[in-house]
Amino acid sequence: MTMTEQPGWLTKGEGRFSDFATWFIGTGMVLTAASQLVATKWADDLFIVLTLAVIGVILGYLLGLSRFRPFACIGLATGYGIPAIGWQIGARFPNTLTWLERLSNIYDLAHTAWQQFVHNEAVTNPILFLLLMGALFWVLAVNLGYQITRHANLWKAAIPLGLTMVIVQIYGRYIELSSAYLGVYLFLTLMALGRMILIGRIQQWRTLRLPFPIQARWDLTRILLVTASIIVLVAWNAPALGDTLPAMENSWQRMTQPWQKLSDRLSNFFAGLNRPLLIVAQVYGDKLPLGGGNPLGEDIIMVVEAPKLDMPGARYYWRANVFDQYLDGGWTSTPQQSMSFSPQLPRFNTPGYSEQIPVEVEIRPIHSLITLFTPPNPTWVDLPGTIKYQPLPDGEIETVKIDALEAVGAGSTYKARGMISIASAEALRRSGENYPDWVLANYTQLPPTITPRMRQLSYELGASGDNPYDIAQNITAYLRQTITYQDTLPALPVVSEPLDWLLFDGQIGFCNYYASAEVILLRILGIPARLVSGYAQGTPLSENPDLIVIQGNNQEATSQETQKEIYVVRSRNRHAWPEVYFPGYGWVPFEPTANQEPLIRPETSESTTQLTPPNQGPTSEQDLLDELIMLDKQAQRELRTAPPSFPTQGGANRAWVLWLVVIAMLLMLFIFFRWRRRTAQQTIVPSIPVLLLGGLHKLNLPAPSFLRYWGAYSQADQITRAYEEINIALSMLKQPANPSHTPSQRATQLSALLPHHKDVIWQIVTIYQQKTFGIPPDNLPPLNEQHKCLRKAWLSLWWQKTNPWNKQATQIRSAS
Amino acid sequence: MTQTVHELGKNIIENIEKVIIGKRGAIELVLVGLLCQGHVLIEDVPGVGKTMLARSLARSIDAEFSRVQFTPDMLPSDITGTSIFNQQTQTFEFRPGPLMAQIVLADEINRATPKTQSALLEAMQERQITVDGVTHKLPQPFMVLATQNPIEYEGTFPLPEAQLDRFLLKVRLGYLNKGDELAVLDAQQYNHPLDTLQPVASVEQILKAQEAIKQVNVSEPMRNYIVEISRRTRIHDDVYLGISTRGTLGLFRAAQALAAINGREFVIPDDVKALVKPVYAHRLILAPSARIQEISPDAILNQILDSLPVPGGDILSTSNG
Repeated sequence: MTMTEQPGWLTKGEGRFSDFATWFIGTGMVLTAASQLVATKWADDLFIVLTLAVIGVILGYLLGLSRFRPFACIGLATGYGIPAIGWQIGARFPNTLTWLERLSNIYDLAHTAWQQFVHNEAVTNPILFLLLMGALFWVLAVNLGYQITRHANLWKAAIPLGLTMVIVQIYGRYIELSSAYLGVYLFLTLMALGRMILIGRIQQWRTLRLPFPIQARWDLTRILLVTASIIVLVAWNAPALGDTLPAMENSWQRMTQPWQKLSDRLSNFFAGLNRPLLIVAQVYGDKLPLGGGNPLGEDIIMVVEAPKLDMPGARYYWRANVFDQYLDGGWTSTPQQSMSFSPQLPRFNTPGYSEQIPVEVEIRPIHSLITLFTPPNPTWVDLPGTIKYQPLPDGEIETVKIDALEAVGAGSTYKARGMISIASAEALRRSGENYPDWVLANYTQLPPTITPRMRQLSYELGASGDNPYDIAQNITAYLRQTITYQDTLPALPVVSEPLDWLLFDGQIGFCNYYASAEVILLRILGIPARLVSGYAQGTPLSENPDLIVIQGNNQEATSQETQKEIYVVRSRNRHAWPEVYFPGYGWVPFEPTANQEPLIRPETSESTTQLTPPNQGPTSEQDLLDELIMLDKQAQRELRTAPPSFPTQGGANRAWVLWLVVIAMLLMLFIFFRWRRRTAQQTIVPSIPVLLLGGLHKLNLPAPSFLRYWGAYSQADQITRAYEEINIALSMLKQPANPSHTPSQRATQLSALLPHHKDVIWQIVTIYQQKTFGIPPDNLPPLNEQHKCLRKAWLSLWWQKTNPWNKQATQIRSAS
Repeated sequence: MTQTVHELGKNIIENIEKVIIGKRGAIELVLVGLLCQGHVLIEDVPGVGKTMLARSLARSIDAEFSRVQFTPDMLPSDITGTSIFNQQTQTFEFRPGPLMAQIVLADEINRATPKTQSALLEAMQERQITVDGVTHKLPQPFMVLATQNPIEYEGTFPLPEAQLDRFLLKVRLGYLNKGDELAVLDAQQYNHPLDTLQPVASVEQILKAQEAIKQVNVSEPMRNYIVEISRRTRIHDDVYLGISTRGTLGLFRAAQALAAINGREFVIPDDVKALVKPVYAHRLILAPSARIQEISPDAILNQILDSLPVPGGDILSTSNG
């Protein structure tokens, strides 16, 4: 072979790992990791990493196959990466822009974001993050492809990606099915690993010129599949199983303790940056489509300390945004005016209404947020921010949404004040219909898609009451009764008006649908109403059985503050509700959603006299601090345990999962064995006991006798099994054969017990001896019939002997 | 092929049974010895049919039979034959002794002097005799049935144990049970059945059968089993000298012959178990302590057989041997 002079950037193109299945699995791994990142919803256009990852991994394979030296590969990967990332992000911009404009836009945005970051301000656009993530996944994907193809090294390929996934997992608490991504990733990694080992072995066999059956690949791959599935299933359910057994749970906690410490450290480290890089809790924008709904989780969104509301009908809602316009099956918040606000100002210039009490609450969000949650009718927050508002004629404002100037970091707190309506039903009935113009102008708009039967329904419901309050109550009651709550909906039929479908056809929905329906039905009757989004009150700490222990520790503090309550607001409390305007009383919430407690207002105002005094804040700063520290710990603890096991779910759920896993595994084994049996002629893979025996042998451990027996039996042919039936029969009939007895001695022994089956027994033994000791001819009879016959015979004898209802046997026993 | 051996064996055994009643096992063993080209030591009290067994065997296969009654004054030439000067031809002529036969009954072999004994044993081993520098081949088949009286030891020269190794099998006849003994009385009331015994096989058939049994299959586990039995006799505490390789080979061959006689083309554990004592018992030299305790070789062999898992006995012994 003549050696040609090679340029410095080329290397010999030998020893490349090329296997399409592995490449396919590798691409799957990259896609899984990228999908996990997308599922965090940390930024809108995050899905560009999916494209980047796929292109990256393909490039990685090609580079791995190529003859370029490593440094040349790095150069090429970078060279392709920068345009690829630029192209992907640029493609997010409107088509009207030229590519040059897009690129300069990217630069501008990135520059601004960088400036904001450097000056410790809230980064207002996600471009920096997108760039970072795009680059990260590009590098990871190229690395994976390159490592697999060039070095056949799965560890270097998979571990960086896996670590990234774990970190994303830790910080992305809102990912749906979060652990499933890691599970799929682990599964794919195992598959790739097995596949690579298999290919390596086959190459080795080829080198050694060992013959191997063609089915070996398929056989081994199948086993790989089953094994990987079992490993992932078991690994995934280990923590869940642990919950069912206290002892296991302890050891599990002991095992994971160092990890949790590390995780705490890490979050401290990131908290130390004092910079919420990602805006997570931007739940509600200015648009609110009715949507298909989400399964709502148990993650804690925020913890609110608020005065206790003792009177009936008063309830907190943590509002985020107010919507006034309903069009095309979605809500829009139309007011566009905004003004900045500083906490030095005493309060917003909101109109005053009667029968409202001021409240001051302290909110501790668990995730950083910009749009602040406030009590209804907010009047003040202790953070500088921007208020989006609806201007009123006399210079007053109607707050729509409050954004903080700087994101509120997870774990910090802010105070907010608002007004809660405690108007009695009687008062609201008497309030009349003298609506101000701005209310009628903004809150009675109807979409053109309203159907006649919706109007019909609205009139029917309206006829039953003679004042807006009663009508609203009737509609609320009607909705609670007829619509079934369901947090996710199937794909809706294509209709012009989803509310029509909801009211008459589907009759299932979640809060958005209930609230929208109520608002629209009211508006048809000319009653002004609006839709408010945010969170429902949440679980009061005193009602949460799991948290009582914590409270008990702080008995003194709580007894002093009997009129304060701490509400834990979780993801599942996400809510939308209607508010109806009553002249003189302002906006009053109603609760049509069936899974929420009904909101019952007191009939007369007498009962509302014993209000909680407003601003009944904590008695001392120290108490509040204590409580917050305690709360913080609690929240952290909750967060740690929340995803896998939530206390209110109970152990029954876990046990169910356990059973599911057991059944699934049995099913797999069953399928596996069926498969084996059907392809028994072709399979080259030893049976499970043989595998186990081999493993034990390699570990130099003695195999238990049952396993050896199982292994021998599984390998035995039909004739040997038929013969073994003699031994089984002897031991079951309590006359176990002496190991030194020859087959014919055993046959004689059993013939004495089963004289009628002597012939069968000797047939078996004769054939068996021929097979075992002689040079067997090809056409030995399989002995299936004899085997069955013998089994039946000894079983019936055994049953006669052991059957407690058999008189003869009893007599024999008693005689003996 | 083994089928013909089976037929042959069956015919011979049935034929001999006309004379020797109730001793099928012993007859079978003697036949095994014949088919293995081995020699058989019959040890038993006088009058239980040792001579009859040898005679009827010779008659059945139409073989040349001779009998040597050993006495202390017997010389080697008395059994091998001598060269005698023929005055008419003026040459030495060889006069063959009783050993020049196909079936030789060496009665009371322990009464002969060691000199004579060793001449016999040498002939048994070499299958030839040398007289006056001339080697004479012994006829084929050649089989010595030596008898030994276990009771009357006075004035005897017991065979050294090493010499006993030359005998493939040691057979015991033992007394008959009552029914068989009555049958003997009936059969011999008027004449001896030996007188009317007809040959049922030819010498050629025997020679063929001797070759045929070598084809009987002894599977790997069975070979292991045989060797393991021998090995265990060598490490047994009560045994001073265990089984020699000739003994192992003897058991191997005997098992083949027995399998063939039973019409099988392969050896099964039962064959080996049946033959262990006849083939091995006389070869074991017991340790002095065992002799004092009067432990018999049979007991030791029983113990070994009972402690050894039989090949193919159950599924585990089949799979990993």
